[in-house]
Amino acid sequence: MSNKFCVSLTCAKDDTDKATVAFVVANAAAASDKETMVFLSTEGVHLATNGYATGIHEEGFSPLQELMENFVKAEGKIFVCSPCYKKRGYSEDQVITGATIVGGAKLVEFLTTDGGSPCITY
Amino acid sequence: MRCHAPFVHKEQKVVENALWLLMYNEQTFENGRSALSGGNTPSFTDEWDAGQMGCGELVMLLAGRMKALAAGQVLKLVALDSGAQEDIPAWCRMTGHSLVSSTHPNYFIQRRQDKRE
Repeated sequence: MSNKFCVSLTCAKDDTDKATVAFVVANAAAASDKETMVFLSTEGVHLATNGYATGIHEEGFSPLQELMENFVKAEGKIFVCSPCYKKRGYSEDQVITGATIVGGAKLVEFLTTDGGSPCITY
Repeated sequence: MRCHAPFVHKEQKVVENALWLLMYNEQTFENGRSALSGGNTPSFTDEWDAGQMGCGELVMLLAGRMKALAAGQVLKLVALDSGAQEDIPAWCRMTGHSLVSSTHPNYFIQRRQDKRE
């Protein structure tokens, strides 16, 4: 059984339902002692910016900001697609605590080494 | 004697060219050695400034650059993209090339031995 788990998230305020559920699932994985990584790409990279997630609160779920903070506290990793982030005009100093700007190689390594990793995409 | 002159001249030119190439190669090698003796900077045989390039494009072209090197030779990569800090070490771990030294944005990557070697 793989001890890793990847959640790929490609949306933010354009689909707050998916963005929220992605972090709910990521928290479930982190709480299950899985080495968990959320990969933010395309529109999802907005979430890696300080203050962006504030106010996103889907009915029936905890606020997204809280979900993300809990995920980082549980040692979950957040990888942010570098070209996607730059394309949207963000700079490195805007990145939230716990998130790391990466390129494709880092994602591929996570998915393919140490027994590989399942990946669910939102 | 006169009829041999052009041939001799041509031979001399070949020798001169060979000597020049030899000197050029030695000079290049010495440049690499001097980098090593400079202290913290590893010796390298090729250098590539990738500028702001990042992600898949960067590693794809980097793979081609590394392929052009002989086993054991070192490429100095300059990659300004912040993602390179995570990507280059990860890419080296996956491909078997050695990351000799890295201080963003400078990366010194040593070509692996081919699997056939």
